[in-house]
Amino acid sequence: MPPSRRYTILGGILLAPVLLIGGAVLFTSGNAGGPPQPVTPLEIDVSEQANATALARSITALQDRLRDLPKDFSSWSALGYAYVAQARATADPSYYPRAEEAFALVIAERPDDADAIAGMGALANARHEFATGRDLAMQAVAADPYDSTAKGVLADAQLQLGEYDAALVTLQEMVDLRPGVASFTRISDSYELRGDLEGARYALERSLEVSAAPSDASFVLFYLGELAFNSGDYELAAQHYAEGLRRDPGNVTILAGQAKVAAALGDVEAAVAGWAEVVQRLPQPVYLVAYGELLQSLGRTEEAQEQYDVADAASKLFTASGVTPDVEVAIYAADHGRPAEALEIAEAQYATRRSVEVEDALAWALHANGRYEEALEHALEAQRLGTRNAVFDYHRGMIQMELGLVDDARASLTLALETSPAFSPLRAPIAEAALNSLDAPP
Amino acid sequence: MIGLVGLFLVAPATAALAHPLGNFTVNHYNGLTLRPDGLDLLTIIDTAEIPTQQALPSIDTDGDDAMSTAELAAQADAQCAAVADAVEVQVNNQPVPLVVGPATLETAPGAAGLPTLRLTCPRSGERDLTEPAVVTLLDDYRTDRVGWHEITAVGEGVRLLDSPVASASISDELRTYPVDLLQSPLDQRSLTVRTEPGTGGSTDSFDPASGSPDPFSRLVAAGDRALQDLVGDRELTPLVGALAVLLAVLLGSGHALLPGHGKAVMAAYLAGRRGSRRDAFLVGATVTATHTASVLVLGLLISLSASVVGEGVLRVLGIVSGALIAILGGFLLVGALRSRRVARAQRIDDEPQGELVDAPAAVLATAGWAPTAASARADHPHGHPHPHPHPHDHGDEHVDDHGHAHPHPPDPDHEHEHEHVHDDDRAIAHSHGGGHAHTHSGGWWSGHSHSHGEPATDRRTGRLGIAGMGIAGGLVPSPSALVVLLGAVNLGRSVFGVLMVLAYGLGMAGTLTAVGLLLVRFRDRLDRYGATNRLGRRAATVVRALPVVTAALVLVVGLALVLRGLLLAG
Repeated sequence: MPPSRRYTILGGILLAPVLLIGGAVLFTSGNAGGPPQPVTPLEIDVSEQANATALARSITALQDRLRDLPKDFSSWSALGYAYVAQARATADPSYYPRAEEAFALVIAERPDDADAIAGMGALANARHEFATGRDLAMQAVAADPYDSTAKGVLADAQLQLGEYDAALVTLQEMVDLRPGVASFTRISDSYELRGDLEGARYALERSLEVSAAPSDASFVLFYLGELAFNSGDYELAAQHYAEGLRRDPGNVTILAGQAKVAAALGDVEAAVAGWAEVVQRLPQPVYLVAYGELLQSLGRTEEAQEQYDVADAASKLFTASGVTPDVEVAIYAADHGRPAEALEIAEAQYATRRSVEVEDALAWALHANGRYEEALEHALEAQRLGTRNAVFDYHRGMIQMELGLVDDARASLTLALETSPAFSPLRAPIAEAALNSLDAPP
Repeated sequence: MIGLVGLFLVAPATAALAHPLGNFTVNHYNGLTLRPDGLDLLTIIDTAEIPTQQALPSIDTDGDDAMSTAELAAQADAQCAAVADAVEVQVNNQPVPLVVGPATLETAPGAAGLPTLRLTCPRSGERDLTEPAVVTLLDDYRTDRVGWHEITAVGEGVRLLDSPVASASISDELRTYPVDLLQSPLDQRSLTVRTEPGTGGSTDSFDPASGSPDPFSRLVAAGDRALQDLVGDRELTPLVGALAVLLAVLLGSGHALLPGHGKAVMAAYLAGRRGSRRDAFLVGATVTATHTASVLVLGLLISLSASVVGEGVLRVLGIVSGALIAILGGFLLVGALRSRRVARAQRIDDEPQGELVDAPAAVLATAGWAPTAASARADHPHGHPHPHPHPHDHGDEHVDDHGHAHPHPPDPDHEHEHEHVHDDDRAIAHSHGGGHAHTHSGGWWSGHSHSHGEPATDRRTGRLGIAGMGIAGGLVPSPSALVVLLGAVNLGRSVFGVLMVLAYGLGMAGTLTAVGLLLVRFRDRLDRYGATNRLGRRAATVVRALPVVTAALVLVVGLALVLRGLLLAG
C-alpha cells in the first residue's frame, strides 16, 4: 500500500470519531427536551428563589456527574450552591448541612477555592452569622478578585452588618464584573434602604430585562411587588405578584405577597384563604405571625393564637438547633407581651451589628420595656439612611408619643400612613387611632 | 429587603435535628405487597414538628394542650380515611377497593421537646393477579407539603417485572432517613409496575448489581479506582506519574479482555482470516487509534462546555456504531450468499477441497460465538430471559452504566456485538470487495480485477473492512478512560490526562494484537488439521451454512442497536 493511501486511511480513522462525536454533540445539545445539563457555580445565585423543578433537575444532574467524577471540585461547589438555593426554595433546612459538607469537601482539597469559601460565607449569612459571612466572603474575594458570587455574599453580609458604604463599593464591583439579576436586585435593595424608591425600581426593572429564566423573572417580580406594596401602591403590587405567579406557578413567597396585598386592599376573605394556604404549604414563623396578626385584626383571637403557638414552636426548634433569634423575633415578642425576651434578643443583635433593622428592633424592644428615651435614640438612628419604611415610622411615632413629642409623633405616624396606608392589618389601625387621638382636642 | 426574605428560614448550626428531613415536612411511605388473590397497602405518614403543631388544635379536642391516647385513637381513623381517599391502587386501570385495617396514630418525641406524629394505615383488597397485570399506585395525599415520598413493592407469589422501586424500605419505613451527600430526598409519588404470576422475580432496581461476579472484572474495576485516585492525588511526583501510566497500560489491556468485549474476539477473527501478522497489528492499531481519538474528542468537548451531555453523546454514538454494524452486516450477507453460490458451483464443477480453505475460519466463528453469548448473559444485571439477548443486553448495560452509581462500569456491549460481524470473515472479503469494486471503479480501488475468492483482493478489501470494524469498535469511548481523562483535566493536568488515555490505548492495542497473533498461529495449525483430517472436512460441510446465518444476525444486531438508541432518545 503506498504511503499516501495509508495516510488517507489513518486520517479517516482519526477524523471519523471527531466528526461523529461533533455531530452527536450538536444533536444532543440542540435537543431542548434532552437530559439536564450540569450547572456551573455562577449560574446559581444563592439569593435566587429558583424554580423548584429546574433546581431539582440541576441537583440530580450534578449528583450524577459527581458519582462518576468524585474529584470534580467545581461541581461540588455548584452542588453546594444548589443545595443552598434548594433549602431556600423548599424551606427544607436539611439541605444546609449537605451544602456545608459539599463546600467543606472542596476546601479540604483546595483551601483557596474561592467558590467554596464564598459558599461557606453564604451559609453563614443564611444562619445570620453575618460577621463570619463577611470574613469568609473577603477571604474568597482575596483568593479570586473576579468572583462575582463572592462579591454578592460579601455585599449581603455588609448590608446586614450596617456597613452600607462598604456594601455600595462591593456592589459597584459586582455589577462591573457581572451585570445580572444577582447584582441588580442587590443594588435595588441598597437604593431602597436609602429611601430612593425610584432608583430601586429602576434597578429591578433592569433586572427584569436581563432575567432569562422564569424563576429569575418571578424572583424579580416579587421584589417589584414588595417595592410597590411598601410604597402603598397595592394595585400595582397585586399586578406584579400575579405576573410573578404566572411565570412560576405555586411560588409560596409570591402567594404570601398576594395574601398580604389582598388584606391591604380590603379583600379579607381572599387574604385569610391565601394565608391559610401559605402556612399549610410553608409554615415559616414569619408567615405564621402574619396570618395570626390578620386573624387577630379580625377579632378571631383564638385562631390567631393557634398560629402564634406554631410560630413559637418553630422558633423553639431554631433555638434548639443553635440559631440565634433575629430582629423579627424581637419585634414579634415586643408586640405580643414579652418585653424582656424582645430586649434580650435585640440587644444580642445590636452587640454584633448596627444595621437600620437592628436599630429599629432595639428601639421597639426598649419601647416595650418603657425605656422611651433610649428607644428614641435608636429609632432616629434607624432613620440614618433615610429609609422609607412605614413600620419604622410607626415605631418611631409611637415612641415619640410616649415622650410627649406631639408634633414629631404626628409627623412620623402621618408619614407611615402616607407611605403605605395599610402596611399591617394590625398596626395600621393602631397608627390611625393614635393619630386621631393626637389631633383630637385635649 | 432581599436580606429580609426568608428570615427565620435559617440554617441550623449543627445537624442536630431530631427530624433529619426538616421540621416542616410531611413524609410518606407506601409499601405495596402483591399476592395472587389481592394486595396489601401499608401507608405511613410521618409528620414533623411544625405540621404536628399545626394539627394539634384539631386533635386536642379537650383543649388541654396535650394529645391523649383517646384523642389520638379518634383521629387515627379520620386521618386514615383521608389517606384512603388520596392514595389509590389500580389494577389494569380499575381502582381496587381497599378495606382499612387497624389504624394507629402515635406521637414520637421530636426536636426541642416537641412531638411528632406517626400515622400507620394498613389496607388490603382483593383482586385476581394470577394473570399478567399492570398495577399502579398514586399518592395524592397532602401534595402541597414537602417531604420524603417513598414507595416499595414486593410480590408474594406474584412476579414484578422491572419494578422501578425497591422491595425494602431504605428509610426503615420512615424511622431512619439516610443522609447521603449525593442523594436528594426520595420523591416517589406514583408507581406503575407490570406483574405476572410466579415467584422470585421481584427485580429490584435499587440494589445495583454493582460488583461484577467474576474476579477478573473486579480486579479491573479495582484497578480503575486505584488509577483515579492516583490521577486525583494532590501530589503528583514523577514516580506516581510513571506508576499511573503503567497502570493505565495494564488497565487498557485488561479492559480489552473483559467478557462482553468484542474487541479481542474481533481482533482474532480479522487477524485469523488470511493469516497475515500485519493484519493483527492493523486491527490493534485501528481500534486503538479510533478509541483514543474518540475519548480525547469527547473529553475535550465535555471539559470545554458544560452543555455537552456525555450520556446523550454516548447514546448517539451507539446509534452510529449500530448503523455501521448494520451496513457491514448487509454487505456480509450479500457476500455470504454470493460466495455460497460460488462455492456450490465450484463444488459441482470440479474442486471439492476448494472450500477447505474457508472451513477453519467458519469453525473459529462457531467456536467464538458460543462462549461470548454465554458471557453476555452472565454480564446481564437482571437474569430474566429475553428472546433476543444481544441488543437487549446492550441496552440494559448502557442504562445501568449511567443510571446507577457504578463508578467503573464495564464497557458498553457495543464491542461485544462487533464480533458477530466478523463471524464470517470470508464473507467480508468477498462482499466488501465486490461492492466497492463495482461502485468505486474509478477510485483508488480501480485497476484490479475482482474475481471472487482471489486472495490478493481479499486482503486489500479486507483492510477496508478492518477499518470499518475498527471505527465501529472504537467509536464508543470507554467510560473508564473518559473518567480518567476528565479527572486529570479537572485537576488542571490535561497533558497528563492525554498521556493516560494514550497509555490506555497502547495497552488495548497490545492485548488485541497479541490475541490476533495467537489466533493466527492457532489458525495455521487448524488449517493443517482440517486439510488432513476427515472430521475437519465433515465439520466444514456442517458449518457451510453458518456464514449466511451470522451475517443475517450481524445485520439484525446492528438494526436493533440503532432502534434501541432511537427509542432511548425518544
